[in-house]
Amino acid sequence: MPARSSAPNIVFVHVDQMRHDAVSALDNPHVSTPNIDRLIADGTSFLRSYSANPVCCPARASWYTGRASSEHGVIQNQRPLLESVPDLGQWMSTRGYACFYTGKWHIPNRRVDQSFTLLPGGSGHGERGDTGVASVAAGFLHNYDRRKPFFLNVGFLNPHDCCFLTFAPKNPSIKFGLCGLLRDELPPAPGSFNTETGAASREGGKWDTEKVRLYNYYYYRMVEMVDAEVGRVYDALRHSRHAQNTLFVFTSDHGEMGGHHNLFKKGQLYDASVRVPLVCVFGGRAEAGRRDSEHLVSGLDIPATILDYAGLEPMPQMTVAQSLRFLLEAKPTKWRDYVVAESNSAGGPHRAVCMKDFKAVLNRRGSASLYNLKDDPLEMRDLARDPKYAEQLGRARVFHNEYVDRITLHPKLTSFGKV
Amino acid sequence: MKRRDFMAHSIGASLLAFLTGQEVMARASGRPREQTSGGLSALNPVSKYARSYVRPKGVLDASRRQSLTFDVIGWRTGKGRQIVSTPVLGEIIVKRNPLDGAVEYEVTQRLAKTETMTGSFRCLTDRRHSLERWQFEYALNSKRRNIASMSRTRQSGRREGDKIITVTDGAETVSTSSAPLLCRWGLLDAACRMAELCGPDDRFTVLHEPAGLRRDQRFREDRRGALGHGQETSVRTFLQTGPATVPTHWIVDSQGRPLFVSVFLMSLALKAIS
Repeated sequence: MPARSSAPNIVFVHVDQMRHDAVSALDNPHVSTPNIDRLIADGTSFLRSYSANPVCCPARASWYTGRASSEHGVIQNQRPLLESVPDLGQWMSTRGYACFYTGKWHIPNRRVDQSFTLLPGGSGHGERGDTGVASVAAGFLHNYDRRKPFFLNVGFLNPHDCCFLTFAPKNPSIKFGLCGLLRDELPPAPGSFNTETGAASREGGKWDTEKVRLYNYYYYRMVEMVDAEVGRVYDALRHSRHAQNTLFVFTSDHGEMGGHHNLFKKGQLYDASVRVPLVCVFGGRAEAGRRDSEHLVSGLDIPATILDYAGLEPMPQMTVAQSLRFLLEAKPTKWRDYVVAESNSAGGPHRAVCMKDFKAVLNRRGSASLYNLKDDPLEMRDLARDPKYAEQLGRARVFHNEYVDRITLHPKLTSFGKV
Repeated sequence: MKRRDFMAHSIGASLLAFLTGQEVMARASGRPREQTSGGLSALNPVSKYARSYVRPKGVLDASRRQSLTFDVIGWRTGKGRQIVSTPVLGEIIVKRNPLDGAVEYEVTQRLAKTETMTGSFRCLTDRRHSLERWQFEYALNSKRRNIASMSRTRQSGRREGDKIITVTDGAETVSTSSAPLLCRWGLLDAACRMAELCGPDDRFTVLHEPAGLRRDQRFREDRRGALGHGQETSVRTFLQTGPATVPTHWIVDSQGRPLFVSVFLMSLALKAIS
C-alpha cells in the first residue's frame, strides 16, 4: 500500500528530558515557552501523555517501532534493538515516503542512516548542537521540492544539558556562586522535595534547597533555548509551501525529576519523569487550541498516528499503540482506560499502570505502590496498603495483565509477565 | 589531539607556564555579593582553559578598525564526571569597521570542520552599540551537494522604530518591542561600559544568531576578582540573564576588554586583538 503523492507530509520534532509541566501555556510561571505555547494554541495537546519508558533509548525505540521496550529489547540505554523489528524510517521509505533525519537518534543497534536519509546536525550537547539541527530542518522545509511526501524527523537535545549540572561538585560547571545573587528569581523547590534531607545526585554531592532551585533555574532556561529552536522549525513550516498538508508532532522522550522526591534526571515512574508534553498540529484537520486532559496516551501512539495519517498499514505487532487521529479530529471513539509505562531503571523492572485518577507501580514480585493523582498530584502518599483502595489496585493488576497479554515479550530479556 | 588539549596536558606546557608565571587561577575579591561559595564561579565552565590562558596584547578602540579573535571553548568529562579538558571547538573572528555614526562588525565563525556562520552587523555608536541591521548565513556543510543546499539558513533583519523585521530564507517576520536591540558583537565594544547597563530596569533584546531574538535580558554586576598568578589582573564579572539564557558571565578586565564570555557548555575567550 504505497503512499499517494497527495499524502500528508509529517514533521516529528522531539526534545529530550522536557517535563510535562515545563510550559508557560500550562500556567508554569517560571518558564517562558512562547513557541510551544503557539503549538498548543494551533493544535491539540494531550495533557495525560506518558513516555513508553522514561529513559532516552527505550523511549525513542518505542517511538520508532511502535512497541514496548520489553518487546523491542531496548530496556535501558545502550541495550540493543531487536534486529528483526522494523522502524518507521524503513517502513515508510519502502512505502513511498522520503524519510529524513537530523539531530539526536540514540537507538542502539540501528544505524539511523540505514533507515533515513541523514541530514547534518546535532552533537552531544543541546547548547551547541540544537541550533544547527533547527537550521538544517528549517532549510530543508524551505527547499524540499520533490513530489514524494516527506517524513522529517528533528531530534533536539535540550533540555537534556541539565544532566551535566548533576556532575557537580566534581564538575563545577554549574555556577553555584549565583544562588545568592539570583535568589529572588529562582523557582521554588518542588513540593515533594524534602528540605531536611536534601537530595543526592548519582555523581555525588549534597543538594540543598537553594542548589535545587538553581538547578531548576538552569533547567527552565534550557527549556527556553530549545523552545526557540522548535519555533524556528515551526515557522519554517508555516512559511513553506508545505504548511497546509503537513502533520506536525511535538513531544519529549521523558521528563526530568528536578528535585521531585529528592531525585534528578529520569528513569522514575513518577509523573515528573514519565509524563511528557505532546502536541499535534495539522491545520484544518486537528482541532486547534484543544487541551485534552481526559484521554490517556502513550509514546507508542505517535507512530500509530503517523502511519494512520500517512495512509500506511501499521508495522507488525503494534498491539498496544492506538492512532490519535479520532481524538485530534474530535470524532467519537472508544478509548483505552489505562496506559502502561515501563522502566528498568530505579530498582526495576517495573511498570506503571496510569488510570484516570490513579497510578499503580507494579514490579515482578507483585508488590506495588498506588497514588491518587487527582488528590495527590505530587504522589506523596502510597495507598497500596490501604484496604480502602484495594479495588483500584486490583483494577490496575487486571489492566497490567491485559497489557502483558497483548505484548510479545522479548525472548531474552529480564522482564516480567502477569502479576 | 587538539592543540589546546595538548597544551593543557603536556608537561612542557606546565613547566613553561610555571616559568613564565602564566598559570591562571581565579580569586574573588573581598567584596562578596551574598554568595554561598568562594571563588569566581563565573570561570567554572572554562576552568581548565583559564589555567593556561594568556591575555592578548593591545587595547580595544571602537574608533579604529580592529580584528578580535575568540576561541570557542567546550569541556569534556572523564569517567569520574570531572572536567578533564576544555577543548577549543572553533574560532570566531570579529572585524570592526567604524563608519560615520555607526560601526559594522563582520563576523566569521567556524565550529569543528563543518559549521560556519558569516555575517555583518551594523550597530549605532550609542552606549549600548544598539543593533540597526544585520545579515548572516549559517551552514552545516555536507559532502552531498543536494543535502548541503538544504542545510543553509540566510537571515537579514533591521530595526525600524518599535518594529524588528527579520527575513529568514525569504520569509518575513515582524515583531514589536520598545526595548533596545543589541547583538553580541556590538556588546564586545560596550563591555567597557557594562556597569552602566546594569540598572534593574535596563532590559534589552539580544540577537543570538542563528537561534533568534532573546528578549527581556539584563545585566547585573557579579563578583570582582583577579586572574593570573604573578601578573594578576583584576576583572569585573557581569552576569547576563533572561529567557533562554543560562547564566552567562562577561568577564571584563581593567582595560574594558571582555576576556571571557562564560556560558555553560560553550564559552568564548578573547585570544588576539590586531
